[in-house]
Amino acid sequence: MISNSCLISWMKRLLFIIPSILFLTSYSQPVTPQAELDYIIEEFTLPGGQLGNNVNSIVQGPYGFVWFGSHGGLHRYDGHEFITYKNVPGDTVGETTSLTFPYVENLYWDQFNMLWVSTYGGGVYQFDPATETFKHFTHNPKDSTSISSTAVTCAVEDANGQLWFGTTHGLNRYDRKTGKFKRYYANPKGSGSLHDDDIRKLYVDKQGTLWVGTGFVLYGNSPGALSRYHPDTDSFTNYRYNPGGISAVRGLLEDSKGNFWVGTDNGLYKMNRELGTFQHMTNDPTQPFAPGTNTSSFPATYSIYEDRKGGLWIGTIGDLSYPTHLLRYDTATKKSQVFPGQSFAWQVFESNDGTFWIAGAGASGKIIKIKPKPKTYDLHRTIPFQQAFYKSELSKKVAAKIVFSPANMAIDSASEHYWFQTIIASFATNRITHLECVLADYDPKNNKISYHHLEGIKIDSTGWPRKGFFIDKEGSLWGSYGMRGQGIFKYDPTRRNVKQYLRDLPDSTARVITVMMDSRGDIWVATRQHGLYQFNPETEQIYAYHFSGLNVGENDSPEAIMEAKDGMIWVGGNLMFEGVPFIAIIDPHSHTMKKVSLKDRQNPEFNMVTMSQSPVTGKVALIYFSGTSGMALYDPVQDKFDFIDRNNRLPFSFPNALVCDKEGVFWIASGETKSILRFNDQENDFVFQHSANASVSWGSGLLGPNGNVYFITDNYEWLEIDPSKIKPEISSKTSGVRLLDLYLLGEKQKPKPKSLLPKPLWMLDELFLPSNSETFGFRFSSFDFQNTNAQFEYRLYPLETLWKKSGNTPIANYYKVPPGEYRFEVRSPNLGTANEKSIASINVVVLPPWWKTWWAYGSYALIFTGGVFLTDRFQRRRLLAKATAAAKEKELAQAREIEKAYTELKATQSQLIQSEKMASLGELTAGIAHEIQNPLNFVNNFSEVNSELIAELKEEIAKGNIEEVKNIANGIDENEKKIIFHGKRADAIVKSMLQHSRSSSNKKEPTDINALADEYLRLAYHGLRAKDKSFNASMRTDLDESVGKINVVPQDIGRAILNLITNAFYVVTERKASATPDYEPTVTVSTIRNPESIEIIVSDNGNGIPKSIKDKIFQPFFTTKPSGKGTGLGLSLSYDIVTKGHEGQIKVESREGEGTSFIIILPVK
Amino acid sequence: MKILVVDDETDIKTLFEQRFRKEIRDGILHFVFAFSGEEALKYMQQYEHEAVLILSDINMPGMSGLELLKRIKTKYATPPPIVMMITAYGDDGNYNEAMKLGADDFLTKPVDFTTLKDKLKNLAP
Repeated sequence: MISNSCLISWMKRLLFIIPSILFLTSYSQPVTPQAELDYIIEEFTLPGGQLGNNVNSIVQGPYGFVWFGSHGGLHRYDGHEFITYKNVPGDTVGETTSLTFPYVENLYWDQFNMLWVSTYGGGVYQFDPATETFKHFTHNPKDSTSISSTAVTCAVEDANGQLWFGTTHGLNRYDRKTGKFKRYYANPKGSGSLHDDDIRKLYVDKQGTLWVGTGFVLYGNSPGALSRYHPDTDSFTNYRYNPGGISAVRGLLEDSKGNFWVGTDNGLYKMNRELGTFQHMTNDPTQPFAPGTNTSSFPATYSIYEDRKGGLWIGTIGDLSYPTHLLRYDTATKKSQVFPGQSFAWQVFESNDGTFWIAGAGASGKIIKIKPKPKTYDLHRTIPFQQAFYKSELSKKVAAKIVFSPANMAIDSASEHYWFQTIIASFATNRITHLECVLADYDPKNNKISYHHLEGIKIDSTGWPRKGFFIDKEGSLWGSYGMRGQGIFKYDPTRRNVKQYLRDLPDSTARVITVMMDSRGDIWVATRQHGLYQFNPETEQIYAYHFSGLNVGENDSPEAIMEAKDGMIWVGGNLMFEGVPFIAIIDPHSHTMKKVSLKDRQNPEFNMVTMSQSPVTGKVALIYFSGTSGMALYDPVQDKFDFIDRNNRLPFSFPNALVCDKEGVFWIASGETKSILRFNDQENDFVFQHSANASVSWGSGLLGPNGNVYFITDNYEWLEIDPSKIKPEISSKTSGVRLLDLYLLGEKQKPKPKSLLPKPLWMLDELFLPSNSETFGFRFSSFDFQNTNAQFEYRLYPLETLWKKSGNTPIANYYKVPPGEYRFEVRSPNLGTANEKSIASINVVVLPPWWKTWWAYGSYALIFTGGVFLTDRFQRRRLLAKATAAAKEKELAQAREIEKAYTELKATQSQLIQSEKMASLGELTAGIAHEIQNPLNFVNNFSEVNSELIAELKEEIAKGNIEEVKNIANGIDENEKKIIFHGKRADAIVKSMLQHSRSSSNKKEPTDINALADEYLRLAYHGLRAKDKSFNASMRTDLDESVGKINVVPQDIGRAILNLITNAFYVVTERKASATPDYEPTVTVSTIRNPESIEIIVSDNGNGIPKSIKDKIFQPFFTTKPSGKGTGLGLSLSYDIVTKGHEGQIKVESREGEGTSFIIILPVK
Repeated sequence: MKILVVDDETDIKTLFEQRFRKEIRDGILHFVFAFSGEEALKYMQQYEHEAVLILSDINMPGMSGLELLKRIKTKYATPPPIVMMITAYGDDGNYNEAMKLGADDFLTKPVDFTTLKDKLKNLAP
């Protein structure tokens, strides 16, 4: 009831000073509007009603909990739950069981992790969080070594580790060894004593000096002073800012810059500790933003607090007429934010997650929670592309008038101009009629946009500014529109001169996908399905790289190109080797290539869109598309990929562009949520998210010469990010998940020494549970005070290997867990923060029941061996005889096993041969079917249309509508032509490929060998092409007409030829992957008539067969193809067909590096 | 209703124009044709708000239908046009991928025009 009395006296004082306030208000600054505050203000409620919410003190202890001391007890808060400690009925003052006097005035943590709870009327309690027990110290009038008063106001531990307690009557030094207090009082007669012994603040500055603030700022009768303690003389020096009058001190703080701030009944002062002088900070019109100026119309300054960003918080008190203003003064910007409020700002406290807590003390009954507002940034930049074009000279010259949203930008570091690559078009209804390639040059200094025409570059609707747009040392611009036969361009803006390069690499069908200029000035050009080219603009030398693997149908489409820190060129894209996607690392000097495989991403659609390397860690981030897009982080040191997607840390789907800034922070754009994300791989944190208006273009990230990051969007704008200005607001490092309570059979366990819970759960690493406690549960918390809706996942490893989701319920329960050693783990994978450190765990050992323990087993064993020993003697002879018989039986069984295995092996072998027969044809059939399907669809569709039209025709004839009849007739005629065309198209395919299927017998019959060879060549070619549209090789025939018909089994010989031809296509494709662009893969089939025989020769210009394996190629199961790609039976089967079935021969002639010819020689009978 | 048809077979244009003769004449349906994914994207960029429905082939040289789908669905968010995929390969892989990328419907070749007509009529305002 002390609080009431102090309030009343304060009210009295307030009435007294009202007249003077009228003029003081003229200095008061308005409260910062909510929208302009950097913080969000929330009211926070503790349990215990009015008393429980009259909070005087807030601290955060070494274990992460936030502790509140209120008029109704001590409250522990973990982000989810409160535990309140107060008086337990029956406990008497002086005992050590509970907080017998629950009016808490102050909380203080000492170096031994003890919480000192000062109460206003009940002395001080030492609370041990490990045992949850209180030790009580209070005033005893008969004992001069007890604390000087029951009303304890503050506590501090000095540089020597001694504890000091302030009371309303006297200062006390506590001796931990003796448990005794030494009292200090004001003695008006003696020098070196305190000026006032109503102690209200104890503070130890950075030099280790103890400062004592005295006098109660709300009373008018307490003189007050600031006293400095001298340990050597055990005396004090008193300082008074108002020497004749009241000089009460309540707030003390030495800030990070060494300023010493003093909060008083007369506002804020800055003290010079050496001179002992005070500078008043209040109401100085010449310093409108100095701290203290606009704190309040009522100047009593209570709490002074410096936050982790160097902001000073100054709390004052007020009432309804003169609301309290809480103020934050930003020392960096020298600006203040004034928080609204009508309560006391008795204490300001920041918990380690960046949340501010404002205690209202007795006057308000509430706590205010203040958290930083997520910052918003405007990254959008745009210029009037279209209007500028209408005004340009160029628009008068060309027909095209519509400017497309630019797809590329580049920044000229010398002129600081921005260049944009785009196209302009004119449209008829629904149709593009005319296209031109243009560049826009933007001069930001003069705000001028000029257009440059890339004359001579042919473009149609398939052209588009391709990824990569670069400015070389002379200021010329390089890029491409991806048009066939147009290669890349170089534009010299001063001479307005366009030059084109690489127009025919490797032939005119190649389309450029990406252009990249490396730091040495070489241009790297990626093409779709035609590999990569390194081009030196000075020498105009070209070097080609191909990536396709050994197999036809594998891809040669690089797309993402990056120059690494060490000058190596990294190439990603749709690149496959043996079905495994890879990244190629190219040495631009030696032209050698290293491959980094992505073994677990075996998807033919796997395509890498863009890559960027961190200059700090060397890790490479890439964006890939494989059905859906994701991101991967590659660590070249450990050769490890970390796939980051929506299910693993990435807070959005569809990343589509990324770039790493100079500090090693990755900036990632999402096409789905139109947002930008900041990713720091060193902290593994995703923090900043920014919403954009439009989608960022695929793979468009650019690191500007000024260190800023740029993304271009599809809405005539770009985003500019200054990485130095966008820093994460709060690191999530400090808030971590922690285990709190153990439940056994649904009951919360209290920690007790020598029990299975000897300490609170959060202090333990290991837990031993007896077998009757195999049903247990845990409560945990995220200690996230800003987001009380944290999600949890947990598991009991290795009983559970997968994480279970508990939603936002911080409880996990286990039933009847079998004996064993486990590890209980819990984590909180919060959106936006991906800190792997936020995992809490404890080892849990569930002990076996007594009849399963080691000593129980020991006695079982003893009884057992005794029994065995007795029976052993008795049975030994019989066993010996039995064993001999068993051995014989075993030998026989083994012989039978071997025989069985041999039979199985033979059966498997013949099955394999059968499957090879099926494979060689079957593989091709799917492709062929598709080739025929398309024309067939047209035939069907157009026929259907025609029958509809004929019905309409009849109607119109009946109506006599001659005009419409003519129209319909024309339509029918047109469709008929289409039917014939597509019918013939299908016919041609069938005729050229499937004639052989007419004969199905296995008998020899006179067969036209030339026709057979030609058919199978086409069959192989079309089949492979249908499977892969990019497959390309020349096929040639050189057929001797005098070969004529000979007696063979056409299917068998056909299959033998087919095998040779598909092998030939395989080897030429294999060579193409690593050959120079002028290599033309060619397969030739020729026939020769000899007097006694004919020859069928299948030749290729592949790499040839190495001598070392030449003898083995006809052996069954021998293959050079990667495993899974060939059975190794093709050639051996062909060999059998020719030699055994037809008494012929197969020969092979091969030269390494030149090619191979297989020659089938068949006798003519 | 404006419909963008994307297919590398140029005769698809004649076919659609014949098949939907009446609807085109009556101004119910309006067709535009693109013969590659790239061309379709270009059209979309200029007439973003006009094409309500896109019918696209999957197996096309250059940009595949799935890639086109992906770009349309990620780029044009408010609201993205309806995209129906048409393919001769009616296998699970293509179907799943198309659906994953947000395709609104999946038709196999040969196209059943009666069904397609019904579907379009249901969509027409």
